[in-house]
Amino acid sequence: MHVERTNSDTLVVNQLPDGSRVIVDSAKDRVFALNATAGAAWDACSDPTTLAGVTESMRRSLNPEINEELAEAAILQLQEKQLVHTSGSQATRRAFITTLSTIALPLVISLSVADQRAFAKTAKSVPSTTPPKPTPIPKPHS
Amino acid sequence: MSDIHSFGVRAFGCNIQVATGCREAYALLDRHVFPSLPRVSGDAGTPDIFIRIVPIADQFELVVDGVSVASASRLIGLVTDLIRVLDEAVIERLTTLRAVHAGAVVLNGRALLLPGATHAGKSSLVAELLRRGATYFSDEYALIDARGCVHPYPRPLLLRNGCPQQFPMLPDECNASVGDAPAPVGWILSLAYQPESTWNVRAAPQSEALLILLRNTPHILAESPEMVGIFERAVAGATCYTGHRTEAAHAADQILRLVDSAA
Repeated sequence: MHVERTNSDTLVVNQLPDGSRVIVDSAKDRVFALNATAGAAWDACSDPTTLAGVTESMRRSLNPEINEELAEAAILQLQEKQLVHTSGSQATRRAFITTLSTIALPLVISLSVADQRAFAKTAKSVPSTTPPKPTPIPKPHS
Repeated sequence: MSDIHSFGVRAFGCNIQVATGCREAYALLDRHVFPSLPRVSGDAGTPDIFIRIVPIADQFELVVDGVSVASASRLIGLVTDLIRVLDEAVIERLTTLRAVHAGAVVLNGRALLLPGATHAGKSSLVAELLRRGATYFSDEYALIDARGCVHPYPRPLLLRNGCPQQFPMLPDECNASVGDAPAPVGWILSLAYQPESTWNVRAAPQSEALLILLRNTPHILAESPEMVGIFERAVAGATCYTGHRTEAAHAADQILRLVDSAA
Protein backbone atom coordinates (compact mmCIF):
# COMPACT_ATOMS: atom_id res chain seq x y z
CA MET A 1 0.00 0.00 0.00
CA HIS A 2 1.29 3.45 -0.94
CA VAL A 3 0.28 6.31 1.29
CA GLU A 4 0.35 9.98 0.54
CA ARG A 5 -1.09 13.03 2.20
CA THR A 6 -3.81 14.83 0.33
CA ASN A 7 -3.12 18.44 -0.52
CA SER A 8 -1.73 19.81 2.71
CA ASP A 9 -1.07 23.39 1.64
CA THR A 10 -4.14 24.56 3.52
CA LEU A 11 -3.52 22.61 6.69
CA VAL A 12 -2.28 24.07 9.96
CA VAL A 13 -1.03 21.34 12.26
CA ASN A 14 -0.30 21.72 15.96
CA GLN A 15 0.95 19.08 18.35
CA LEU A 16 -0.35 19.19 21.91
CA PRO A 17 1.66 18.15 24.98
CA ASP A 18 0.04 14.68 25.11
CA GLY A 19 1.19 13.98 21.56
CA SER A 20 -2.24 14.43 20.02
CA ARG A 21 -2.63 16.74 17.01
CA VAL A 22 -5.05 19.42 15.96
CA ILE A 23 -5.28 20.00 12.22
CA VAL A 24 -7.19 22.96 10.84
CA ASP A 25 -8.09 22.66 7.17
CA SER A 26 -9.04 26.14 6.03
CA ALA A 27 -9.95 24.95 2.55
CA LYS A 28 -12.42 22.34 3.72
CA ASP A 29 -13.51 24.33 6.78
CA ARG A 30 -12.88 21.46 9.12
CA VAL A 31 -10.95 20.87 12.35
CA PHE A 32 -9.46 17.43 13.00
CA ALA A 33 -8.36 15.87 16.26
CA LEU A 34 -5.86 13.02 16.11
CA ASN A 35 -4.73 11.11 19.15
CA ALA A 36 -1.02 10.41 19.58
CA THR A 37 -1.17 7.13 17.66
CA ALA A 38 -2.94 8.65 14.66
CA GLY A 39 -0.66 11.69 14.96
CA ALA A 40 2.42 9.49 14.65
CA ALA A 41 0.94 7.91 11.51
CA TRP A 42 0.24 11.40 10.15
CA ASP A 43 3.84 12.42 10.76
CA ALA A 44 5.01 9.25 9.02
CA CYS A 45 3.24 10.43 5.85
CA SER A 46 5.11 13.71 5.55
CA ASP A 47 6.55 12.26 2.35
CA PRO A 48 4.88 9.63 0.14
CA THR A 49 5.53 6.27 1.73
CA THR A 50 4.31 2.72 2.16
CA LEU A 51 2.51 0.93 4.97
CA ALA A 52 5.82 -0.65 5.96
CA GLY A 53 7.36 2.83 5.99
CA VAL A 54 4.58 4.17 8.17
CA THR A 55 4.93 1.26 10.56
CA GLU A 56 8.67 1.73 10.85
CA SER A 57 8.33 5.46 11.40
CA MET A 58 5.70 4.93 14.09
CA ARG A 59 7.96 2.40 15.80
CA ARG A 60 10.72 4.98 15.93
CA SER A 61 8.61 7.94 16.98
CA LEU A 62 5.98 6.36 19.23
CA ASN A 63 6.63 2.82 20.36
CA PRO A 64 8.86 -0.01 19.10
CA GLU A 65 5.96 -2.43 19.57
CA ILE A 66 3.79 -0.81 16.90
CA ASN A 67 2.69 -3.44 14.41
CA GLU A 68 1.44 -3.19 10.86
CA GLU A 69 -2.19 -3.76 11.86
CA LEU A 70 -2.16 -0.74 14.11
CA ALA A 71 -0.40 1.40 11.52
CA GLU A 72 -2.93 0.31 8.90
CA ALA A 73 -5.83 1.12 11.22
CA ALA A 74 -4.41 4.61 11.69
CA ILE A 75 -3.93 5.11 7.94
CA LEU A 76 -7.49 3.95 7.26
CA GLN A 77 -8.85 6.48 9.73
CA LEU A 78 -6.79 9.24 8.15
CA GLN A 79 -8.05 8.07 4.75
CA GLU A 80 -11.68 8.13 5.92
CA LYS A 81 -11.19 11.76 6.86
CA GLN A 82 -9.49 12.43 3.50
CA LEU A 83 -6.27 13.48 5.14
CA VAL A 84 -4.33 10.83 3.18
CA HIS A 85 -5.05 8.71 0.15
CA THR A 86 -3.77 5.25 -0.51
CA SER A 87 -3.07 3.28 -3.66
CA GLY A 88 -1.75 -0.12 -4.57
CA SER A 89 -3.05 -3.14 -2.75
CA GLN A 90 -6.43 -2.33 -1.26
CA ALA A 91 -6.27 -1.68 2.39
CA THR A 92 -8.96 -3.39 4.39
CA ARG A 93 -9.68 -2.94 8.03
CA ARG A 94 -8.69 -6.11 9.76
CA ALA A 95 -11.20 -7.68 12.03
CA PHE A 96 -9.01 -7.64 15.08
CA ILE A 97 -6.16 -5.39 15.93
CA THR A 98 -3.60 -6.84 18.22
CA THR A 99 -3.98 -4.56 21.17
CA LEU A 100 -0.89 -3.40 22.92
CA SER A 101 -1.57 -2.24 26.41
CA THR A 102 0.77 0.72 26.21
CA ILE A 103 -0.51 2.07 22.90
CA ALA A 104 -3.89 3.69 22.35
CA LEU A 105 -5.87 2.64 19.31
CA PRO A 106 -5.77 5.33 16.64
CA LEU A 107 -8.51 7.92 16.81
CA VAL A 108 -9.32 10.60 14.26
CA ILE A 109 -12.40 12.78 14.72
CA SER A 110 -13.42 16.02 13.11
CA LEU A 111 -15.80 18.93 13.29
CA SER A 112 -16.88 21.02 10.32
CA VAL A 113 -17.15 24.77 10.63
CA ALA A 114 -20.82 24.46 9.60
CA ASP A 115 -21.55 21.96 12.35
CA GLN A 116 -19.68 24.15 14.84
CA ARG A 117 -21.92 27.07 13.86
CA ALA A 118 -24.99 24.91 14.56
CA PHE A 119 -23.60 23.85 17.94
CA ALA A 120 -22.85 27.50 18.80
CA LYS A 121 -26.52 28.39 18.48
CA THR A 122 -27.45 25.89 21.16
CA ALA A 123 -24.47 26.35 23.48
CA LYS A 124 -26.14 28.92 25.67
CA SER A 125 -28.66 29.34 28.43
CA VAL A 126 -32.07 28.11 27.37
CA PRO A 127 -34.55 30.83 26.45
CA SER A 128 -36.99 32.11 28.96
CA THR A 129 -39.90 29.82 29.80
CA THR A 130 -42.00 32.81 30.78
CA PRO A 131 -43.95 34.07 27.78
CA PRO A 132 -42.39 37.38 26.80
CA LYS A 133 -44.65 40.37 26.75
CA PRO A 134 -43.21 42.81 24.24
CA THR A 135 -45.01 45.73 25.76
CA PRO A 136 -42.80 48.81 25.68
CA ILE A 137 -42.53 50.42 29.05
CA PRO A 138 -41.13 53.92 29.04
CA LYS A 139 -37.95 54.50 30.99
CA PRO A 140 -38.39 56.85 33.90
CA HIS A 141 -37.25 60.39 33.47
CA SER A 142 -33.89 60.85 35.08
CA MET B 1 -43.53 54.03 40.92
CA SER B 2 -40.19 55.74 40.33
CA ASP B 3 -36.90 53.84 40.55
CA ILE B 4 -35.43 54.98 43.83
CA HIS B 5 -33.16 51.96 44.35
CA SER B 6 -30.41 51.30 41.79
CA PHE B 7 -26.85 50.13 41.30
CA GLY B 8 -24.48 49.29 38.47
CA VAL B 9 -22.20 46.33 37.86
CA ARG B 10 -19.33 46.08 35.40
CA ALA B 11 -19.16 42.42 34.37
CA PHE B 12 -16.61 41.31 31.77
CA GLY B 13 -16.88 44.52 29.79
CA CYS B 14 -20.66 44.71 30.06
CA ASN B 15 -22.02 47.76 31.89
CA ILE B 16 -25.16 46.62 33.72
CA GLN B 17 -27.56 49.01 35.40
CA VAL B 18 -30.44 47.83 37.57
CA ALA B 19 -33.18 49.85 39.20
CA THR B 20 -36.50 49.41 40.93
CA GLY B 21 -38.88 51.33 43.09
CA CYS B 22 -39.54 48.35 45.34
CA ARG B 23 -37.31 47.57 48.30
CA GLU B 24 -37.93 43.82 48.10
CA ALA B 25 -37.15 43.82 44.38
CA TYR B 26 -33.92 45.70 45.07
CA ALA B 27 -32.87 43.05 47.58
CA LEU B 28 -33.57 40.36 44.99
CA LEU B 29 -31.55 42.19 42.34
CA ASP B 30 -28.66 42.74 44.73
CA ARG B 31 -28.66 39.06 45.64
CA HIS B 32 -28.79 37.68 42.10
CA VAL B 33 -26.99 40.13 39.79
CA PHE B 34 -23.40 38.83 39.97
CA PRO B 35 -23.49 39.11 43.78
CA SER B 36 -19.73 38.75 44.22
CA LEU B 37 -18.88 41.62 41.85
CA PRO B 38 -18.54 45.16 43.24
CA ARG B 39 -21.47 47.55 42.91
CA VAL B 40 -21.15 50.94 41.32
CA SER B 41 -23.51 53.52 42.71
CA GLY B 42 -24.66 56.64 40.94
CA ASP B 43 -24.18 57.41 37.27
CA ALA B 44 -21.78 54.85 35.78
CA GLY B 45 -22.18 56.04 32.22
CA THR B 46 -24.45 54.68 29.53
CA PRO B 47 -25.42 51.12 30.43
CA ASP B 48 -25.18 48.30 27.90
CA ILE B 49 -28.26 46.83 29.52
CA PHE B 50 -30.78 48.48 31.81
CA ILE B 51 -32.83 46.11 33.96
CA ARG B 52 -35.81 47.11 36.04
CA ILE B 53 -38.35 45.29 38.14
CA VAL B 54 -41.69 47.03 38.03
CA PRO B 55 -44.72 46.14 40.18
CA ILE B 56 -47.82 46.28 38.02
CA ALA B 57 -51.16 45.37 39.61
CA ASP B 58 -50.59 42.02 41.35
CA GLN B 59 -47.56 41.12 39.21
CA PHE B 60 -43.89 41.97 39.03
CA GLU B 61 -42.46 42.60 35.60
CA LEU B 62 -38.85 42.21 34.51
CA VAL B 63 -38.16 45.02 32.10
CA VAL B 64 -35.01 45.04 29.97
CA ASP B 65 -34.14 48.16 28.02
CA GLY B 66 -37.72 49.28 28.23
CA VAL B 67 -39.30 46.01 27.15
CA SER B 68 -41.10 43.65 29.51
CA VAL B 69 -39.53 40.20 29.10
CA ALA B 70 -41.14 38.26 31.96
CA SER B 71 -43.72 38.57 34.67
CA ALA B 72 -44.48 36.67 37.85
CA SER B 73 -46.76 36.91 40.81
CA ARG B 74 -43.81 36.47 43.17
CA LEU B 75 -40.44 38.15 42.84
CA ILE B 76 -38.51 34.90 43.07
CA GLY B 77 -40.29 33.81 39.90
CA LEU B 78 -38.29 36.37 37.92
CA VAL B 79 -34.85 35.15 38.96
CA THR B 80 -34.22 32.55 36.24
CA ASP B 81 -35.20 35.04 33.55
CA LEU B 82 -33.07 37.72 35.18
CA ILE B 83 -30.04 35.46 35.17
CA ARG B 84 -30.56 34.41 31.56
CA VAL B 85 -30.94 38.02 30.46
CA LEU B 86 -27.64 38.81 32.16
CA ASP B 87 -25.98 35.77 30.57
CA GLU B 88 -27.00 36.84 27.10
CA ALA B 89 -25.96 40.45 27.66
CA VAL B 90 -22.52 39.52 28.95
CA ILE B 91 -21.71 36.69 26.55
CA GLU B 92 -22.59 38.60 23.41
CA ARG B 93 -20.35 41.48 24.50
CA LEU B 94 -17.25 39.46 25.24
CA THR B 95 -14.29 40.74 23.27
CA THR B 96 -11.15 38.93 24.36
CA LEU B 97 -12.59 36.18 26.56
CA ARG B 98 -14.24 33.16 24.92
CA ALA B 99 -17.11 31.38 26.65
CA VAL B 100 -17.62 27.65 26.84
CA HIS B 101 -20.97 26.26 27.95
CA ALA B 102 -19.58 24.40 30.94
CA GLY B 103 -19.70 24.10 34.66
CA ALA B 104 -16.43 25.21 36.22
CA VAL B 105 -14.92 24.78 39.67
CA VAL B 106 -11.41 25.05 41.02
CA LEU B 107 -9.60 22.24 42.81
CA ASN B 108 -6.07 22.70 44.11
CA GLY B 109 -5.61 25.87 42.09
CA ARG B 110 -6.66 24.39 38.76
CA ALA B 111 -9.97 24.62 36.96
CA LEU B 112 -12.13 21.60 36.30
CA LEU B 113 -14.46 22.06 33.34
CA LEU B 114 -17.68 20.16 32.76
CA PRO B 115 -18.79 21.08 29.24
CA GLY B 116 -22.32 20.10 28.37
CA ALA B 117 -25.59 21.13 26.89
CA THR B 118 -28.55 22.53 28.77
CA HIS B 119 -30.24 19.80 30.85
CA ALA B 120 -26.93 17.90 31.03
CA GLY B 121 -26.91 18.41 34.79
CA LYS B 122 -23.93 20.75 34.96
CA SER B 123 -25.37 22.79 37.82
CA SER B 124 -26.21 19.78 39.99
CA LEU B 125 -22.73 18.40 39.50
CA VAL B 126 -21.13 21.74 40.26
CA ALA B 127 -23.22 22.03 43.44
CA GLU B 128 -22.08 18.59 44.61
CA LEU B 129 -18.45 19.50 43.94
CA LEU B 130 -18.90 22.73 45.93
CA ARG B 131 -20.27 20.71 48.85
CA ARG B 132 -17.03 18.70 48.68
CA GLY B 133 -14.76 21.72 48.95
CA ALA B 134 -14.37 23.01 45.40
CA THR B 135 -14.24 26.75 44.69
CA TYR B 136 -17.04 28.09 42.53
CA PHE B 137 -16.38 29.55 39.08
CA SER B 138 -19.66 28.96 37.24
CA ASP B 139 -22.48 26.52 36.64
CA GLU B 140 -23.01 27.77 33.08
CA TYR B 141 -20.03 29.39 31.37
CA ALA B 142 -16.29 28.98 31.60
CA LEU B 143 -14.67 32.16 30.31
CA ILE B 144 -11.29 31.44 28.72
CA ASP B 145 -8.67 34.09 28.07
CA ALA B 146 -5.97 34.25 25.41
CA ARG B 147 -3.54 32.35 27.65
CA GLY B 148 -6.01 29.52 28.03
CA CYS B 149 -6.85 30.34 31.66
CA VAL B 150 -10.40 30.22 32.99
CA HIS B 151 -12.02 33.23 34.66
CA PRO B 152 -14.82 32.95 37.21
CA TYR B 153 -18.28 33.75 35.89
CA PRO B 154 -19.95 34.02 39.29
CA ARG B 155 -23.65 33.98 38.53
CA PRO B 156 -25.97 32.26 41.04
CA LEU B 157 -26.38 28.56 40.35
CA LEU B 158 -29.67 27.52 38.79
CA LEU B 159 -30.68 24.08 40.02
CA ARG B 160 -33.50 21.85 38.88
CA ASN B 161 -33.29 19.01 41.39
CA GLY B 162 -35.54 16.92 39.19
CA CYS B 163 -38.12 19.67 38.66
CA PRO B 164 -38.82 21.42 35.36
CA GLN B 165 -38.41 24.77 37.07
CA GLN B 166 -35.05 26.06 38.15
CA PHE B 167 -34.35 27.75 41.43
CA PRO B 168 -31.37 29.89 42.35
CA MET B 169 -28.72 29.00 44.87
CA LEU B 170 -25.65 30.93 45.94
CA PRO B 171 -22.31 29.17 46.46
CA ASP B 172 -22.23 30.08 50.15
CA GLU B 173 -25.31 27.92 50.64
CA CYS B 174 -22.90 25.03 49.90
CA ASN B 175 -20.30 26.60 52.17
CA ALA B 176 -18.23 27.27 49.07
CA SER B 177 -16.17 30.30 48.18
CA VAL B 178 -16.23 32.07 44.83
CA GLY B 179 -13.05 32.26 42.76
CA ASP B 180 -11.63 35.72 42.25
CA ALA B 181 -8.71 35.05 39.91
CA PRO B 182 -8.16 33.12 36.68
CA ALA B 183 -6.91 29.55 36.88
CA PRO B 184 -5.26 27.20 34.38
CA VAL B 185 -7.34 24.28 33.20
CA GLY B 186 -6.45 21.09 35.04
CA TRP B 187 -9.22 18.77 33.92
CA ILE B 188 -11.91 18.58 31.27
CA LEU B 189 -14.67 16.02 31.75
CA SER B 190 -17.32 15.61 29.08
CA LEU B 191 -19.92 13.52 30.86
CA ALA B 192 -23.33 12.48 29.59
CA TYR B 193 -25.88 11.84 32.32
CA GLN B 194 -27.47 8.42 32.04
CA PRO B 195 -29.69 7.60 35.05
CA GLU B 196 -29.55 3.85 34.63
CA SER B 197 -25.89 3.59 33.70
CA THR B 198 -22.78 3.15 35.76
CA TRP B 199 -19.82 5.51 35.98
CA ASN B 200 -17.88 4.86 32.80
CA VAL B 201 -15.23 7.27 31.54
CA ARG B 202 -12.17 6.96 29.35
CA ALA B 203 -9.16 9.19 29.00
CA ALA B 204 -9.45 11.46 25.99
CA PRO B 205 -6.65 13.09 24.03
CA GLN B 206 -6.28 16.83 24.46
CA SER B 207 -7.14 17.34 20.80
CA GLU B 208 -10.49 15.62 21.32
CA ALA B 209 -11.11 17.87 24.32
CA LEU B 210 -10.46 20.85 22.08
CA LEU B 211 -13.22 19.69 19.72
CA ILE B 212 -15.49 19.28 22.74
CA LEU B 213 -14.84 22.91 23.70
CA LEU B 214 -15.57 24.00 20.13
CA ARG B 215 -18.88 22.10 20.24
CA ASN B 216 -19.85 23.85 23.46
CA THR B 217 -18.98 27.45 22.78
CA PRO B 218 -21.62 30.00 21.79
CA HIS B 219 -19.04 31.74 19.60
CA ILE B 220 -18.88 30.91 15.91
CA LEU B 221 -15.53 29.56 14.77
CA ALA B 222 -15.83 31.13 11.32
CA GLU B 223 -16.06 34.54 13.00
CA SER B 224 -13.47 33.83 15.70
CA PRO B 225 -10.81 31.59 14.13
CA GLU B 226 -8.42 32.50 16.94
CA MET B 227 -10.54 30.28 19.18
CA VAL B 228 -8.60 27.21 18.08
CA GLY B 229 -5.37 28.67 19.46
CA ILE B 230 -7.08 29.85 22.66
CA PHE B 231 -8.59 26.43 23.27
CA GLU B 232 -5.29 24.71 22.40
CA ARG B 233 -3.69 26.65 25.22
CA ALA B 234 -6.61 25.78 27.51
CA VAL B 235 -6.37 22.02 26.93
CA ALA B 236 -2.56 21.92 26.85
CA GLY B 237 -2.28 21.48 30.62
CA ALA B 238 -5.43 19.46 31.09
CA THR B 239 -6.15 15.81 31.74
CA CYS B 240 -9.26 14.97 29.75
CA TYR B 241 -12.00 12.38 30.03
CA THR B 242 -15.23 11.57 28.28
CA GLY B 243 -17.98 9.13 29.15
CA HIS B 244 -21.15 8.55 31.13
CA ARG B 245 -22.00 9.53 34.64
CA THR B 246 -24.58 8.60 37.20
CA GLU B 247 -26.36 10.75 39.79
CA ALA B 248 -24.60 13.99 40.66
CA ALA B 249 -23.53 13.04 44.20
CA HIS B 250 -22.02 9.75 43.09
CA ALA B 251 -20.42 11.37 40.04
CA ALA B 252 -18.86 14.09 42.20
CA ASP B 253 -17.20 11.43 44.36
CA GLN B 254 -15.91 9.67 41.26
CA ILE B 255 -14.59 12.94 39.81
CA LEU B 256 -12.65 13.71 42.98
CA ARG B 257 -11.14 10.21 42.92
CA LEU B 258 -10.17 10.75 39.29
CA VAL B 259 -8.60 14.10 40.08
CA ASP B 260 -6.66 12.63 43.00
CA SER B 261 -5.43 9.73 40.88
CA ALA B 262 -4.26 12.08 38.14
CA ALA B 263 -2.44 14.35 40.59
